[in-house]
Amino acid sequence: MGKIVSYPISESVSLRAFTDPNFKTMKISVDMLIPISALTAAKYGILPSLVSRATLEYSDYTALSRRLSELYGAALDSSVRKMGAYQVLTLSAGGISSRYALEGEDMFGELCELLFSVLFHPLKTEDGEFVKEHFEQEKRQLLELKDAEFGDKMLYAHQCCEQLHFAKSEAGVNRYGSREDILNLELSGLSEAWEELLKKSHFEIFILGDCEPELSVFRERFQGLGSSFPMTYLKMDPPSEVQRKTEEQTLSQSKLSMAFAVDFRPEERLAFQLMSAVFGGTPSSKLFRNVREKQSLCYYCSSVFDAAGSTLYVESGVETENLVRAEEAILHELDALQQGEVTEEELDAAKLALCNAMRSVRDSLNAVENFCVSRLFDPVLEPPDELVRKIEALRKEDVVCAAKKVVLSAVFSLKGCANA
Amino acid sequence: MQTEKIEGKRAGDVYYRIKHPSGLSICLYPKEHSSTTYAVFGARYGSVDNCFRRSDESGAQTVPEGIAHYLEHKLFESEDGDAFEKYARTGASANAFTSFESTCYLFSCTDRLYESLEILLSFVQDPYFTKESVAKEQGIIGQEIKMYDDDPQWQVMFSFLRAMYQKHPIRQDIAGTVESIAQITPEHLYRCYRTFYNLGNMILCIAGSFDMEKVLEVCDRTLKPSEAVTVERVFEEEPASVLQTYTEKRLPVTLPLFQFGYKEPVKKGSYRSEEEIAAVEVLLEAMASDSSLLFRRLLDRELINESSFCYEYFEGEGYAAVMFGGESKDPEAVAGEIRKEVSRLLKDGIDEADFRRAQKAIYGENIAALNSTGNIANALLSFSFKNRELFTYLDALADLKLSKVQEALKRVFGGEQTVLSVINPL
Repeated sequence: MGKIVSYPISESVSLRAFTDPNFKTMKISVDMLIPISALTAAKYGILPSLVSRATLEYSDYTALSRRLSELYGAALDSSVRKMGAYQVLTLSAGGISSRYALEGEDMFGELCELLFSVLFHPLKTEDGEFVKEHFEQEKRQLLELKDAEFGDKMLYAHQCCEQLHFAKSEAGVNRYGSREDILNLELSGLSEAWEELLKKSHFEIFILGDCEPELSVFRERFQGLGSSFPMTYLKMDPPSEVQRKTEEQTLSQSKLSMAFAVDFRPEERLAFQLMSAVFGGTPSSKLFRNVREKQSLCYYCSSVFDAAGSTLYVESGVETENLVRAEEAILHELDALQQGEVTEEELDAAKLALCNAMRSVRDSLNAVENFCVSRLFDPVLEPPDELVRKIEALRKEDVVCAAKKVVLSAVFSLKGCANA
Repeated sequence: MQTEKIEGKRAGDVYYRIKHPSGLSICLYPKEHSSTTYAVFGARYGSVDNCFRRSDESGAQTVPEGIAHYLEHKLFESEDGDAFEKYARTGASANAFTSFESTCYLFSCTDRLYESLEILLSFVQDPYFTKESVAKEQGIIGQEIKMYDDDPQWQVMFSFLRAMYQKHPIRQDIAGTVESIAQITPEHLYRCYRTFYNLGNMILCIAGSFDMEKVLEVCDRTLKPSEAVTVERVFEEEPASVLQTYTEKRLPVTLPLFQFGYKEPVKKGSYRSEEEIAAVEVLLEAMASDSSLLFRRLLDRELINESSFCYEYFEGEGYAAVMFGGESKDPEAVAGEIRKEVSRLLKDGIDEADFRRAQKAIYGENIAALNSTGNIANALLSFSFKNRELFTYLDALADLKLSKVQEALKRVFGGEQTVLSVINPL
């Protein structure tokens, strides 16, 4: 059974290993965290995919893709996400265990080489810039990704609600910056921006799965990188009034997205997670049973607690004529929770569901990485088993107390009309 | 009870295939180091099964579209409460889905497996519908249908299927239509339930950490032997040609979406073997993956993007097609490039080096999929419904010969019957 073991490399670089021969794969991942800002979000956001487009050895997109195919469909992935007030830029290499390699390849060595190559020696031209064609290609694809988000109405409604909620905070900046910022990106300066990221980010390195890492190599490579800065859950002033916006589109179903500001201390995080599970996180939750099943007001209606952003979101798909009633019904359920209307069955069901999810973490390499990154703001990283014990000890009063600290902040309605 | 041990030498795993006296087929795949156990109980009954003939009746019966999906919703209710409420007491994470050819009920858990298994097997075997509860469900399913009406990915796919297939029920929406579900009565539901939820027509697959004897004890206690009735799917003969070569819809999107594909002529009642499936998977990887020349040309011409371009061999009883999809500013130009590449390949064949690379990539992806208990149980179920075996497929992939890929190339693209489906901005 694998255990998450931490190996601090420096003040700004942590390495965590979760090795377990029962996996058939391995993954090496480097997460770079940096405070998000409207000034730099687009510039930093394009970089992970740009640096991983080609390497010195495989200097062309197709050549690099072919090398990955030869390594049994290995992946050299990049991603950008937002966690509270931070932009998280990730580069990772993953593939099958060496024991499954038909030609005896050392998969860990091969994957590390590819990952280090894009991190430390990204392909540049003689003048020290990234390759122009690669930049243009990534810029176009980033703009198309933005456009695609408009087509996904659940995501679109959520993003609009998030913007309303964080209107006065950098936490409202999109993970890739605005469309305009991406359009205005230029090649010159991006190479320096990459060096800047290597110097200014906080690094979280993960070695996961069926492999035997040589830690000395990682110490050597990463020592001296990054900057140390305090990382905390987002702190927001309580909303003075509810921000509201309605947009009409030609749609059959309307979407209702609600954001609630949450004031919590790190040690209260589990109580808020449990409160969200009771409120709308499972099929036995108040929102699912009462708003969806009993009142048939929504096809889906659920809550999710974004701890890093100190926000509770409720998302629902609603018939247009039920938009107002659905909002009232959701607020009624929250009010009931705040008044202490929580049955033993509701509490037990939420605890069991949360513990089940927590115990499942170590069955997936991605889940282990996400678990660790999502708990970076905690004073110590407690393992999933310890958190299970703490969830089991929570009482009804903890849930009600958490619910009382939830305040409606923003409501976005995407109103479906026959012809908008 | 017949038990067969299936060993996968390449995967280094084993699983057990059991024929239970009740008639149910059971696949048990131990992964003793896993915290999670995943169980799926499925019926070979999907949205295509709107016309069927029982072995104890002479004539075929046609029913309204959408019953398989409607039943999936309704089975969660019983006289003594909702199945979700029962799962809530064990902590299992439960769900269900209806596809074209199967309906599956599943859960994953890290504790109290046998209690959850008993809930699963019991509620799926215990239908309870009243006129009122059936009528109430129409509202919820109607909302689900509307949600998919707004989903560009779903719409581009079903427009594609409706253009490609003239008769086969694959062209019908899985949930049916607001009109068809209005015709569904409790009698329809009971009739279809008793026909398709026969244990001989069902499979239980479990992957994870469990005691085989305890699993079988639960099965012995809860499985109710079914009548020895089989059911035959009745499809009208599907012409080799497509209905329309081009179809277009408008939705609130910014960039057009497309689905382009080739219809493969399929003989009625035939299933493709593990080797044939492996050959097509490798063919598509060699032809259109991000290491292919086609992908590079499409990217360089700014016709596709990496986050949305995809391809798939879409096949089942009475239908098979190769599909390419994604977002593009010019779907016609994408289809043109794919057509050109297909013509070139039909003339020159697949290059040996491209074949080797693609074979290794697909083999690696399939080994990696065996990390997940959910992937394993779902794969065992879908393979079994299509008369295939998981480890035989892995061996077929590793031992595949280029000649088989060349044969697949002619088979899937030779008919030259294509459809382009496009969703354009309003």
